[in-house]
Amino acid sequence: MRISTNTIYQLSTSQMSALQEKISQTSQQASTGKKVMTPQDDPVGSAKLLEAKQAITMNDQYSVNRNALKYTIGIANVALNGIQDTMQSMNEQIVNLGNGTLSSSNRQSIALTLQSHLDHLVSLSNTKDAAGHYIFSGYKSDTASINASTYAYGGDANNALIQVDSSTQLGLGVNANSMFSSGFLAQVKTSINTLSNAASTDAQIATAISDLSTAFNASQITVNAAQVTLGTSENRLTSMDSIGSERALAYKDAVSSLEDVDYNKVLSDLARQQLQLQVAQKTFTQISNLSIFNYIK
Amino acid sequence: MADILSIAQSGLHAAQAGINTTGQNIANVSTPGYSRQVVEQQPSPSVQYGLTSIGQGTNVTGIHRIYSEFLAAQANTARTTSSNLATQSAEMQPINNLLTDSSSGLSTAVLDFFNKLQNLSSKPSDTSSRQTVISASQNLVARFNDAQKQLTNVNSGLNIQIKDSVTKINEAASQIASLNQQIAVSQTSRGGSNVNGLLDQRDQVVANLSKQIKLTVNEQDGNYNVMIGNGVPLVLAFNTYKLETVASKTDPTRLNVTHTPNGGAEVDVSDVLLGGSLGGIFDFRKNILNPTQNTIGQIILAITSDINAVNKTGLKANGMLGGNIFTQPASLATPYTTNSGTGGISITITDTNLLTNSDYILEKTGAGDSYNLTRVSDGVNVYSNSALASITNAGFSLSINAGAVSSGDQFLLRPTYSGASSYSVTATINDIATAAAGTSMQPNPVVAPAPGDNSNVLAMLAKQTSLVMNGGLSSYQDTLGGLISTVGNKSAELKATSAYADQWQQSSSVAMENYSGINLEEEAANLLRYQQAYQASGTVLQMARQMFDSVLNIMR
Repeated sequence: MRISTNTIYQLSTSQMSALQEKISQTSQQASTGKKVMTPQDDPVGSAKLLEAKQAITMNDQYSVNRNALKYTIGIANVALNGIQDTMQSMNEQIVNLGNGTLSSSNRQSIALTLQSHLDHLVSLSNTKDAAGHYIFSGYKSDTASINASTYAYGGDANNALIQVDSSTQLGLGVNANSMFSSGFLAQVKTSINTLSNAASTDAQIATAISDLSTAFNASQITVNAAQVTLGTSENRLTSMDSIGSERALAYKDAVSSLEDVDYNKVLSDLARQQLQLQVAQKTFTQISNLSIFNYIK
Repeated sequence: MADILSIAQSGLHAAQAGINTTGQNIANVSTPGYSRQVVEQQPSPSVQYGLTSIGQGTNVTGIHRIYSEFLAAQANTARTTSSNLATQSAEMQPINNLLTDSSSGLSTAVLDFFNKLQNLSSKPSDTSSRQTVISASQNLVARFNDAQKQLTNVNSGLNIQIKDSVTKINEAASQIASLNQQIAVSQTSRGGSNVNGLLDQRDQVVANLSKQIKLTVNEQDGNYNVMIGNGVPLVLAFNTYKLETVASKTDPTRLNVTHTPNGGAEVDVSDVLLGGSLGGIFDFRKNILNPTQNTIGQIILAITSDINAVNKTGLKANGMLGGNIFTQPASLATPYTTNSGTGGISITITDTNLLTNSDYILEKTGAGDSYNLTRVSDGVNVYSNSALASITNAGFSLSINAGAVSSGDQFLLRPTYSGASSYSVTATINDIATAAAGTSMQPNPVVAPAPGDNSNVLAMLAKQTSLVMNGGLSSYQDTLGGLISTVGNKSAELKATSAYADQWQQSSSVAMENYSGINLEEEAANLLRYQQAYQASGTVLQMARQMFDSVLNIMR
């Protein structure tokens, strides 16, 4: 077959430039460590990569949300532990009151102690977070949970939920209204008033003590229930955390398998392509030196 | 005896012609489009010599070029295809890079916006959380505006290339017509003189033209008649019918190409100018750039519409219902420049879930309130002879915003594309309606919601993972992912077919080159051959002179 001189040069140069392009691509992969450079390089992989990165980002965000809720639960736990301790001390005073031989001054001093416990309960119920929001007021985070003079609940019945994983919304789930049995704090105050009044009749005192005792027992149950609620939420969050970090690992593995290069393969490709180019260059110089003109003298 | 002198002389002439032609071939070894030339020789007619006849030497009857029209046509076709695909493949690159998220950040901006809403959901009244939501909204629209701007720049680049390509086509047309003329003149005035150079030049112009556009060449009376695209006449003998660039009648930001045939009216030929790099630009603009612009527009339109809608159903801290967080630009509805009426059309987006990434053509079909709506992507007639107000199923409604629309008037509707106008965020931190409005839409008197009420933020967040686009089939990220894989696939396909076409083009050029091109070894051999022929004829001449001398010596 007849071959023109230009063809020889053209074919050699186009072959060499194709090899050079390959080497440039391979060395780019080697230096960046990434396989997928643009959607063109791996259309399906690029779309999957987008999905995986979205999953990672959302997973991370859920973890941020869980930490925010855990922080609030932590503050709430501290408050509830304080409430529990205070209730314990109140219980001792209530047992003392049951002792029928108390003098009027004894009763008045117990009433004073109960008042300080009541104040402490109100103060713990009005716990705020670092940003100054009342945590036991439902949505009404700007209103004191318990009014210090009427002992009425100032919040609402709502539970502010946040997204804590892809399918769960969770909130604190406890407010100052559900924490105590209905009218407990007001009842404590009423009983204190009766106990500290020297003019109170024995019958009035007996009623005050019995009403106090009934309300107290009911509230012990609700305070316990609130602690259980918080504990349960905390456990759920912790378990979500471990699921979340397992997911994060899985997503990161997926991303890595989509975009990270296999260095063994890349480096051996690079060595092979370099060798091919060297051979092509040597062949080209040798062939282009062959000519009859070398012999026409 | 005198005959031997002229025979030797004719041999010297022929050998000289051979050496000259070989020299010409060697000199043009790397001239593009040069076809090797060979000397055509015939023995001179013999004359009666005694009882027999003897030849009178040799005659150079012509120098012709080795050229195959068939191989040239094949190479041109391959060149047209290869250049078409290479152009599209090259144009894909900016879009391909744009959709690599590290450079545009479209997906990251969407994720970040919703992350900031998540943070707000745990601190709904917190000023800094609100501020970060506003900043993330601004970043979101900035990323999408920027992407649209880059695509608009791609379109401007295409306009420049269209102009450039049309200039090249017109120049080639002039050159072919002028070469037609020069060849005809040379052949008649100098009686079939050597026009090989001119023929090569003309074929080379055609070869270059075949990069720009698909063409067919018909040779008639030695002239090339050239048709481009799907049968648009460009050159007929000595006459040219040139192309012109004009702004598209449906989108003034785009250049189209018109052609005025002999004695005819100017027509837009953009749709029939197939093949080559010019055809590639039109294909790319229609099949890739346009849908990409529309899909990116569709995503940001859906996000901003959905968030605005949710914000409007919530309560702000001051107890008032929320308004828009995002300000959206108007969708483009362009009246054709050929319309006889003066009316304009406004598009109002009604349901982003029903939108597609297609453009639509609206045509008034009668004197009354009667319109056709055609979806451009698949040519489906969505509405036929319908009242304007009844057009509701495509996710938008239409109204006449000024003047009157005449029967036959047409409009190009691009619901998801807003051209150069961009999205913005005018809301400030107090405009975010974090709380639910409840059952009574707006309390009267106005009551500020509880500051911890985050339920409306949760309603916004629910949009992120819901299937709220393409008729409930995809989420925002799904649509973006779909765009990425569509562009990636198209891009990879173009790269592969372009590489294949390039090989085809190379091998057909090589076939032509191997047939018509110079082989220096061959020329070196010819050089030796003609040199020896020259020397031999010289020896004949010398011998004839010696014989003549010896006869003269006898006479002394």
